[in-house]
Parts: sequence; C-alpha cells; structure tokens
Amino acid sequence: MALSLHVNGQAHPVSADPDTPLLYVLRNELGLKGPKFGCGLGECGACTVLVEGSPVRSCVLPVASFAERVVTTLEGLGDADNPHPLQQAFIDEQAAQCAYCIPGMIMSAQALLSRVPEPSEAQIRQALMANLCGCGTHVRILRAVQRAARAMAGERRV
Amino acid sequence: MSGFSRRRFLQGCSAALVVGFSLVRPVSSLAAQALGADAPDKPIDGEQLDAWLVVRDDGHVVVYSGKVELGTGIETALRQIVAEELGVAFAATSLVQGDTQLTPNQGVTAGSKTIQVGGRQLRRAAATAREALRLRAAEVLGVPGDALQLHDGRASVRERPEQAVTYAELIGGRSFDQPVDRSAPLLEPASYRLVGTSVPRVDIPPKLFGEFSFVQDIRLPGMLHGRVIRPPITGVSALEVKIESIDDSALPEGVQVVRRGAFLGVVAENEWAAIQAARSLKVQWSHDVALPEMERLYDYLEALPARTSRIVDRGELHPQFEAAAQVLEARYEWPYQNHDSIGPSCAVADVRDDEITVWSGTQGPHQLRQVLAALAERPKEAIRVIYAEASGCYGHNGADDVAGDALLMSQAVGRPVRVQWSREDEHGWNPKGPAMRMRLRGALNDAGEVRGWHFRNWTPTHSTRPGPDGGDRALLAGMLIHGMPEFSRHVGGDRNAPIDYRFEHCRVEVNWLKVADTPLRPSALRGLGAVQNCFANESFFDELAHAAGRDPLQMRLQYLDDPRARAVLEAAAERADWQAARRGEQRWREGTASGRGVAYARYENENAYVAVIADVEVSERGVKVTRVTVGHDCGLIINPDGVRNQVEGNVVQAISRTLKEQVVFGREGVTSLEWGAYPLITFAEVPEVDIILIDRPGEPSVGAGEAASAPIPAAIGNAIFDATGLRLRQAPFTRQRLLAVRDA
Amino acid sequence: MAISRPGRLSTGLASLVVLAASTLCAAAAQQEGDESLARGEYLARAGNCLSCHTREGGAPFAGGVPFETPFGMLYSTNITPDRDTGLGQWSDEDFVRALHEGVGRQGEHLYPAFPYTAYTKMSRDDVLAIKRYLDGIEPVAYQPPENRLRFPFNQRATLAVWKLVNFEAGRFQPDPQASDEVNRGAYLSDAVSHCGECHTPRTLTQGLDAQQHYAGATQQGWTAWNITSHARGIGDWSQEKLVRYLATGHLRGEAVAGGPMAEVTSDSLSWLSDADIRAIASYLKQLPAREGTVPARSEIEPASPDPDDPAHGLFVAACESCHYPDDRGLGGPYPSSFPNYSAVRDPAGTNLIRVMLDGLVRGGRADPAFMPAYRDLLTDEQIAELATYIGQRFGGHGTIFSADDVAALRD
Ligand code: FES
Ligand code: FES
Repeated sequence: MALSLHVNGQAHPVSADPDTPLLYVLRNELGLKGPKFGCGLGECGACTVLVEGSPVRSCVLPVASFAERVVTTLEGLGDADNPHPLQQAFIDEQAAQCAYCIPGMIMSAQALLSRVPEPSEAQIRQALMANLCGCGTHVRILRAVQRAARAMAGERRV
Repeated sequence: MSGFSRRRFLQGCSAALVVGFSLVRPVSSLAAQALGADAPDKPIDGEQLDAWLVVRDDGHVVVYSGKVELGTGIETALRQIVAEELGVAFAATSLVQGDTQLTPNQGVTAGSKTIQVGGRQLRRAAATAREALRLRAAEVLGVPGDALQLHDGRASVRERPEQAVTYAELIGGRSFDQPVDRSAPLLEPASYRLVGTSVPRVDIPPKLFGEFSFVQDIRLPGMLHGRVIRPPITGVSALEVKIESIDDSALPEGVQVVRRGAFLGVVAENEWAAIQAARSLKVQWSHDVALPEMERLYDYLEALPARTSRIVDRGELHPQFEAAAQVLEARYEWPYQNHDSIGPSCAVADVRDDEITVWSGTQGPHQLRQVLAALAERPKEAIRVIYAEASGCYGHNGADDVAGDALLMSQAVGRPVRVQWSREDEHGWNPKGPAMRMRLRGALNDAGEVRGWHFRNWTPTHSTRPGPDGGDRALLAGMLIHGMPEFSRHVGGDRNAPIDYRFEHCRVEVNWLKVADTPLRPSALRGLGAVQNCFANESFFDELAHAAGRDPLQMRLQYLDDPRARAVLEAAAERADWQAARRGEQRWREGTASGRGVAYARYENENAYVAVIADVEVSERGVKVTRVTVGHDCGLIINPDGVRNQVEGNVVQAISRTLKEQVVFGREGVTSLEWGAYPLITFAEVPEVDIILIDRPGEPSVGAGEAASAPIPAAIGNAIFDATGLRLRQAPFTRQRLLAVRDA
Repeated sequence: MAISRPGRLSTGLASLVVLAASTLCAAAAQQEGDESLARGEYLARAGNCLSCHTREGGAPFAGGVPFETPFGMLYSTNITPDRDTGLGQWSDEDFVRALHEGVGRQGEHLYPAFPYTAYTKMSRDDVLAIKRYLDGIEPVAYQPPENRLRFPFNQRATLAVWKLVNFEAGRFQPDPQASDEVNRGAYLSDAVSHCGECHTPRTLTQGLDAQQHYAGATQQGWTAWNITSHARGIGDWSQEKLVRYLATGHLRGEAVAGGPMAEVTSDSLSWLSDADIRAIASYLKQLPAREGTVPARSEIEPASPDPDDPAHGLFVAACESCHYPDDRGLGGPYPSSFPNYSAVRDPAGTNLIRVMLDGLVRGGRADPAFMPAYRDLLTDEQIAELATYIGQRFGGHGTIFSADDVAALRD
C-alpha cells in the first residue's frame, strides 16, 4: 500500500518500501535537495529534518514512521523571495564554506529557536552539538543563529 | 585591428545539457544558459582570449575558469577580479567552471593557487579584453584610446562622457580572435573599487534554499543508482587483491552486478535497493597484505628505504654541534588523516556509444578526463567531464575515484549511473594525508643563540592524483583492475620543511618513501606536508627557546628579517597582548592550567605569512583550545570576508586535526570508518577566533586556502607546554596521549 | 589467504553483513567429515575462545587482549598452533590439565581470567575436540605482552591459595530431577559458555559467589545483568523472547546487547544451534530467583520531560534526533521506549554511560542495531548531563552523574 507523506505543507503519495529511510524518499521521490546524505548512521546531522518541530535524522528512520507526521525540510522554511530569518541570517553572516552541512544546521537551529526563542550561546552550541561541519564554519554558524534569534525576537516585538 | 568575428561557438545550439534534467539542473547548465547554447567549439586553449571570457549580445560577461569552487568562495572572487579589470559591474558577470569542453585547463584547483595563479591568468585575460575594447572604441568614437574611460560595460570619452559605446555594441556575441596579451597593462590597485571589498558570495543563497545542485543532487532521466563493494584490505597502498567468488543469491531482483577485475559494484533502479544489494552480496576475496602494527608505524616508516634529498645545506653543521653548549634532539609524529568531507564522494556518469559525460566534484576536470579515457578505453575527446560542486574536500578525497566507479558502472549497464560512496567507503578509501615522522636536532651556544639546525623527515609523496603517472591506475577502480601503479612524483612532503629563520648553519633533508611501501594510500590533504613539517619546526623552535631561557616570540623576531613576517607576529602579539613573562609560570598537576603558545609560518616559504597565538586550558579531561589569534598577510586581498572565512575554516579544522583526528588501521587496513571512530571537532570545542588581516595592495595576491593550517598544531603544542611543562610531540593531542606523556 | 568479507566498520557496524571469521571456515572446510573437528569448532564458538584470544587488529586466536583484573593487567595467550608462541608444543594432557585444573604447561597455576572454573566442568572429549580444532587453525607467531601483576598476585604461589578457596575441579553432573534440555542448557551455560564469569558476583577473594549464581555483577566497566528468574532479572521474559535475545542480541524496543555481551552474542551465541539456544534459555528460566538492584519496568514511573532542564536541549540534539521518544515514537531500529532498558533503569548508570561512550554494534543473526560511539563527539560533562537527564526522565531514578563518573568509565 502506498504511503502518504506530509512534507512542507503538502501531501505526497510515495511508493517506497516502508523500510526505506526517509532521506532517500525526500531526495529521490520528492526531489528535495535540502536534506543531505552525510553518513547514513545518524552521526553528522546533514540529513536533519523537522518532525513536528523536533530535529530528526532522516537517514536512519524508516519512511513508514512518518506516515502520520508533519515533516519540514529546508525548502519548507523559506525561499529566495521569502527567506526564513535563519536563511537570511546565514546569508548575512556568510555562514557557509562548502555549505553541505548548512541545511542540517539550519534545521537543528530552527528546532532550538522554536523551543527557546532567545538562546544563549551555550544553548546554541548544545543544540548543534550533533551536527558536524568539516569546513570549520562553526564560528559563523554560531553568529548566524544568534542573528536569526535577534531578528525573530524583533519580529515578535513588532 | 580588424573587427571582431561572429562567434562560431555561439551558433551550434544544442540543448542537450538543459533538456533532461527533470528535478535539477546540473551546474554546467549555467554554461548553456549563459551562452544560450552548448558551444561545442568554444576554444579552451588558455593562450586564446576567447577561452577565458565572452561578452554576450546583452553585454553580460561570461567568465570561464578551469579552477573550481570548492566552497572557498572563488566563484565570487574571480568574478570580482574580472569585473574590476574589464570594467563591468559585478552583476554583469557570471562564471562557468571546470568543464573540459568549455573551460581552459588550469591544472588542479589546489595548493591555494586559485587566486594566486588562476586569478592572475583571468586578470591578464580581462586586461587584454579591455585593451582590445579600448582600441575598438577609439576607432568607433574617433578619439585616441587614452582619452577613453572604461567602466560599467561602456567606453566613454573622459571629457565628454555622453559620447560612449557599450561593450555589447563593440563585441557582443562575437569573438575576440586574439591571443592573451601578457603585456597588457593592468589597473593600479589604488584605483580598485570592487577588488578589496567583501562582495557577498553568490553561491551561498541557493545553497541555503535547497535550490543548488551539488553533484550529489544530480538526477538524469533513466538514471540508475550504483554502490561499490570494496575489498577487505581497506585503503592500503599496495592494493593486490582478487575476487575468488561472488554469491549473489541474496540479491533482490533487478539488481545488476558490475565486475571488472577486482572492481565490484551493484546497480539498481532505486538507491535504497542498491544499498541493500551492496550489503547482501557475499564476496570471497583473496589478498596478501599485512600492514605494520599501528603502534610501530613511525619506526616502520623511518626504517623504509628512502630517497634522501637535501633541500637546504648551509654552513658547517658538524663543528657547530661539536662546539655547542646545548644540543637538543626531538622527534615529532603526525598520523594519517582523512579528508573531512561531510558529504561522501559522488559522481554521475552517462556513457554512450558516441560520448561519455561525467559529472564530478573533481579538483582537476582535465586531469580526470585523461585517466577516465584510459579507464574507459576511449579517446579523451570522447569524454566530457563537468565539474559539479561537492562537499568541501580539502584536497584529494574520493571525488576522482568515484567518477571512475560511475563510469565503469554506466559503461556496463548502458544507462546513466549515479554512484554515491557510503560513509565507510569515504573514511576507508579516500586517500589519506600521509603519516610522517620528523627528526630535529638543534645546537645552542652559551649566549642562547641557535648555532645549528638539522631537520629530517620521512614521507611519501603527498600527491597520487590523476596526473603524469599511473594512468587510470591513479583511480581506485583502475588499481582494482590493473594493480598498483608506481608513483614517481615527490610532492608536498618537503613543503615548509625549510624554515624562514636566519640560521647560519642549517640542513634540511627529506627522505622520500615509496608509496607502495607505506601502509595507506597517501595524497594531498590541506597544506600537504606543511602541516606536519611546521608542527615539528615550530615546536622545536619553542624547545630551543625554552632551553635558551628566551621568550619564544622575541626569539622568532630575532631570527626573522622579512618585515612582513615580523608584522604578522607583531600584529597577533599585540592583539593577544602577549606577555613574555607569563611563560613557564604555570605547571599543571591537577585541576586546570592555562597556557599560550605562538607559532609562525610563511606558507611554502614564499606565500602567505601567518602567525598564530593559541590559548589553551589543560586538565585531566584533555586539552581545550579557548582562543586563537591570527596575524595573516596574503598580499593584496580580493575579498576580505572571503579571506576571513577561509582563515576561520583553517583554524577550526586544524584544531580538529591537532586534537582529535587520526586514521586507525589494523593489519588489513583502515578500521576507523565512521565519525565515532574518526571524530571531528564539535561545537563544544570551537574556540573564539580573532583574525587580523594585513592587506598589501602593492603585493601580489597569494593563496589563503591553507596557509593558516600550518602553524596551528605547533601553537597549540607550545601552549600546552606553557600550561603544563609537557611537550606533546605526537599528534593528535588526545586526552590519552596527554596523560601518557604526563605519566611517562 | 581467503577471507570472506565482513562489511567492516571500526565499530564493526557493517556486521550488518554477516560476520564470518575466515580462519574458522577455512579450517573447517579443509577437513570436512571430521565430526570431532566440527564439534571442536562448535564448542570453541560456544566457549567463545575467539573474543578473549583475539586482540583488536590482531590475528584470530593469537591472543594479546588486555584484561584489567583485580590481580593486575593480564594478556590473553596465543592459542594458535604456533610452536614458539602458541600451543604448538602442547600435548593433549597439557591442554586438558589447563582447562580442567587451571595449570599451565610448565606446571604453573593459571590466572582465573581464563575461566577454568567453568571449563573444569566440560567433558574430556569436548575439551579434546576443541584442541583438535585449534590444532588445525593457521599458526600465528605472536608473543602477547607480559602480564603486569600486582603483589601478591605476581607470585604464582598465591594462586594456589586462591584456587584452594575458590576452585573446585570436577566434571559437570547432570541434575536427575531436571529435563535433558535443562541439563544441556546448564552444561552449555555453566561449563562451556561460562556465563557466570560475568553474571555471577564475586566474593571478597574474587571467587564466584555460588549463593548469588547469575544474580548480576559489574565486570570490566560493564554491568552484566541479573539473569535469574526474579522480576528484576529475566523473570518476566517469555521463553520465546529469551531465545530471540540470545540468538540475536536484540529485542527491538526492549533490550539490546552492548559491550562484552554484544561480543558474546555475535562471536558465540549466534552461532549455536536453535536447540542449544533453547536449552540455555530453559536452564535460565528455571534458575532460582535472586533479588537485584535494578528495578523492574513495572516498578518505575517515567517522568515527563522538563523543557527547562538545561540538558533537554542536548538530549534533543544528540539523542532524540534518532530516538524520538514521544508517546508514539518513530519506530525503526531506534527505540524510543527507554524505560524498557535495564541500562536506563539502573541507578548505577554504568551501561548507560558506557553505551554513550562506546556506542553499540549488534549484528548477530538478525536485526542489527547501531548507535554511534560518542566518546569523542561529546564531552564528559555532556555525557554526564545526558545520563542524569535520561535516568530522571525515563529510568525512574534520580542519580546525578558527574563528569568524573564518566571519566572513570572511559578507559
Ligand atoms: S546523514 Fe543522517 S546523520 Fe549523517
Ligand atoms: S560548510 Fe562545509 S561542511 Fe560545513
């Protein structure tokens, strides 16, 4: 029986074997490029998506588990015309080198900001703990998340 | 000069590249888009101006670069250089990179040479084009060339700006048909408006919206997914292995097995099926290899037959050591290290009867094309390699190898195949930054002056890239089919082996080892030997300073004449508030001790100058770097924020390499096959980074991609010594090593 | 040398592909039909000679595995038939004496890290079958490091005294009251697989405490659980569950073998016949119940998460991203049912911390489990914070772990 996935505000019928990790379905059936394959072991965070607000490793969890869930990928946050404050902040801080890890970073950061709107630096470091970056962009990533938090706080106050 | 000719290569309109990408558009469709055509006969000979840039009908300038974007921001920086020199708006440029059909061969993108060399080539081309346009405009406007000003895509008469002609009118859609003029005058740096400013990187936004296609994201119609199955002797140098038998009884239906020699892959319609198939295939391999025990690695390396090359031999060493008041000796060791690419290597190949197209994250598309031709047994003209960005590579990772894998699989199944390496493939099989041992001996006189300096190291070449030797055996697939090549190159192991200090009596010897003798397959990793050699040199300098009772910063300044070298040290020292008296006060027993260390290097002894001051905290739990201050001079800065980004990356990655990273191997090869066993720095460990960039508009730009990596390890080691009195001479400086040195 | 490829990952993770120790197969293949040889191989499996006699990166059975014991640092011996460094010159009698009496070839007393206290119960035929098998494997010249023993244990004579108190030689005696199956299970568990070496607590003199047979103990930095029929042991596991666990080391959502038990299941138990596994389970199920220190699942009440707990953020990033422990869970191989796991309920937290440090690789006969080793990806402070949080939220205990607790389990 075909599964139905709810991703970025839309329902998608998918035909994959229910044991397939979500990541492959997002990338190959739905054509999304935000979630990245990095390790397939839950170690690096490149594949992170949000499930009802929580950061989840899509490379290890079977697609069948998501049938009843609301999944958000990088694409679901915003686009060039309407960037999410995190995306804007990463641009403003030029917080990327190769950028391969960045989608996962942004998703983990979004999970944090929705839980803790004005996090301390220590909280940001903690929330990104399990996201690896090989390029050493950490310093900028921290700054970008702080900037986004400020921007979002500003929005709320307006 | 005659008018420009209608560009032949703009006419052939093949939409092949654009059609067929249902989900994503590969990078090089940018080329097609830019040109409005596939331009099969555009010249790529770097002697020809048309190889480098094209002015379209609408005045937009397409720049062709054989150097590629590896996540360092060069797409932006190179456009800045061309836009500045040619006199067009930044936004009126775009860049096509790394396509064997469209871009000149500028060698591999490596060694921090993109701006230094590639930028210079483009600047020359842009200057040639500008002068050609000036001549043409002078003719059209009827004024002498030097009465014209050229900017924003127009040539106008300086006195009467309304009298003007646009570049599009002058040449739009036509070719220059002339060689690059090496003597074309270049703009004065003082007049720069664009170069030297932090233009935001053009590649970042699409990557943040999931719009950008990395090589991992390329999907072709009819494309299948391939996975490789590797022999158990993981990542070894002397790869001799045979497949005895394959049991494919557990394979799901529809999966094809591709085998050539000991190269083995599976191809399936769907990626997950391919992964499962690779796991369920049971293979009996035979091989004959037993690597040395890892604990004996460095003795093993030193005992190998070597070709010694004495690269510095100054003064009379022997009498100086005889007469010395103190002689110090030490040996330093650096382990095998991985490329930390977060995305494992990936490639897509489409092998057809008449042509082969390969999308790859290679650093050298033209070099790769050559070896792929050998692998495919087809003329190189039949192959087109198109660069598609991959995850950061920091040198020769699996990007070339996986292109070979994809090509073989596509050739076998007659459909386009995408091969994605697993994490295990990458950690196990990407070429490693080689392990090295360095031995140092130094002589001090009574006055605490350095009278003798003797450096030796043991290293294989740091490049086994596709290139001059090895043919297709420079690719993993080639090795598995034909066996190991001999690599005759000697690259990188000597990098920064010599020191800049003005020692009268000095000898530097590099002992080159044969690749096949060393346990793991080596190749270029950020900085090549500079990281290892600087670690030894700059740590040992500190040991001498300590023995001489001197402040290590002052002693460095004493032996450095070059004002630019002194300037980076002084800048860092001032910013970090270096206190000579601090040193040696703290001695760690228990609890936490803090310390600071300094190190300096001029990359390759002739490029960027870097001074680093590292602050550390040392406790029973290990070493934590709390702050790093960098003084950095890479000549004329094209894009300050871009340079800063690179330096930050170097610092953080080099800390990771210094404190944590080490490839672990057993008798049959690499056993550290994922991030748990080969850990990377995490957010908990990232220090504050403070960078002082010294801009030198009058000096040529040199690379900033790796220079700052080199002095980091020694700065940290020196800081640990400052905090604890313990000298760590073997990287990585893990907690176990720290405690072992303490308890020794 | 023909090697069948185990998909290798350092942590053995690609034992997602069935692990086949080459030498075993090769040796077995050469002399097919030799029943005692096959039995020897089978018993060597059941006795798990491989795990203790194969060091990381070393040849199978060549020894050199370090054991931190109360006696000092011991290294397992080379039991390949190499003449100089292995068993090449051992006679059958030498070998039988070692297993039955704990006496080496030179007449020296052996340290009980070598479980002759169990092997003494094996039949002479079975011991010799193992010898036959070991004689046929590839000889490897390797001399393990010298033992480093503490006084007074560096005096082999001390061992004689130890043995007097703690060791009784003698073959297994079947219990006439029990079924054949239970007796078979008892023989396998007590004599061959030496389960008690880890699962039975020790007395002051480091002997096995017969009164507390299989009641759980901590060895080498891992806790071996109470496996008696008490509710705090495996009392509420069905026979079927127990069989599945022993054969695979994994019960989805309930239990997973880690540390030494993971080795035992993948190197040993997963190779045994279904009948033998059932026999072991039957034996365990009928053992007298002994009280344990880890509350049963039914005794504890998980707490609801406290989002203000500073460790919560860490938990979300490092754990929840795969385990996703809300009331519905996400299923798949990553359990969200934390309270089911003894490691989580154990107020001592030993295995919980160890599993975070060392990760988990289970690739037995089926149903692989994998968890990354966070040893170098999290700091001691972070692991302590997580262990405390997990214990409080899911384990029904309030132990506060410190970075020092973690550091103590690190090496
Ligand atoms: S790809 Fe999922 S955690 Fe690495
Ligand atoms: S920016 Fe390249 S991995 Fe993070």
